[in-house]
Amino acid sequence: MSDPFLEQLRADWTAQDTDIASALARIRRQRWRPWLALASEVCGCAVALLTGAFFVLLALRSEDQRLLYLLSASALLVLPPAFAAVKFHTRRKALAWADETPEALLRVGSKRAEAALRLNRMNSLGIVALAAFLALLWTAAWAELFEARRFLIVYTCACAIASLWVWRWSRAAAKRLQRDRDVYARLLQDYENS
Amino acid sequence: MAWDVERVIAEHGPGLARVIASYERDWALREDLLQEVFLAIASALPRLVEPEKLRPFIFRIAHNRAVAHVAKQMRQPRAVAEFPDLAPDEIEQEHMLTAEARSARLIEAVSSLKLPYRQVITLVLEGLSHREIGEALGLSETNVGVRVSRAKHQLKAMLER
Repeated sequence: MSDPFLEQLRADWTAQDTDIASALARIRRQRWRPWLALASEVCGCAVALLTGAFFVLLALRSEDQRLLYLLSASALLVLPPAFAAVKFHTRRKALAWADETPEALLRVGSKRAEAALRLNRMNSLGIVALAAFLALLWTAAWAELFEARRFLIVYTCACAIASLWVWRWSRAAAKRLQRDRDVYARLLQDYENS
Repeated sequence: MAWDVERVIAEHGPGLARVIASYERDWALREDLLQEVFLAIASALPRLVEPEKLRPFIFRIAHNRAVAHVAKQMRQPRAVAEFPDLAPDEIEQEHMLTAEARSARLIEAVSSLKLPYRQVITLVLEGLSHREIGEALGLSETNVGVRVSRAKHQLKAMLER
């Protein structure tokens, strides 16, 4: 069934001036970029594995430093491949733009923002737990259970500076996450009302 | 199935560029977004096995990428580059408008629709069937029909103002 209004709109719509030549040229130039990123990760991982194998050899030959070499070897043999696998998986997931519908994408974004906000609140709990731990240490010091007041002063100052930094960072992150959540909620409301 | 990515993008690029134009008013950001859409299509295309689903597949990627862009832009407020507004006397002489001006007016009207309506109407204007639109946006054909009808009414009201 023909709809004259829609036909007119379609004619006006397709009359838009679209120039895709520059975007096409840019993707032609960048088509090797994902492969380069993957190759650099594989190379980095291979270097770490070889170094790990070298430390295993050193551990086999050395008597007195065996534990140190074994710990270094295990860190090099386990962590880089694990990080590379996580990065590979994350990149693959990030590129999967065809798996979701636009509405589902917004719902996922909204849930992520909510989860990140909850995690962010845990930072404040961490500060409270640290303060409680410090109070416990000071009580023990007052009760003369151990003699380390000078260390406690330095330790308390370091914890206070770190806590202040975490608190400020958490506040900024919370503001950003709340903004994210509000944006998703506003966009999702349009879908719910349509 | 082996896809010739460049051919697919060259063939559907203009349609994708029109859809992207309804999401981003700033020319430079639009170019960047279009390039991101092309790259996303290039990396996702090897996973598409049914050739008849190509159009819903690529337009779904375009809309998803564009929705993520809209959410990102809303989080970072900036000065919006407005489309040139038409003076009332020009509107009265609508029949005399050039195709270019009518096009610009239509993009402005489509851009001001809410996302659910914008998405269906851009796909209708690109010539996708209701079934294809449903596949692209994860909607039933009935739901597509309802949204198209509402989008058309809103566009009519805006363009006749």
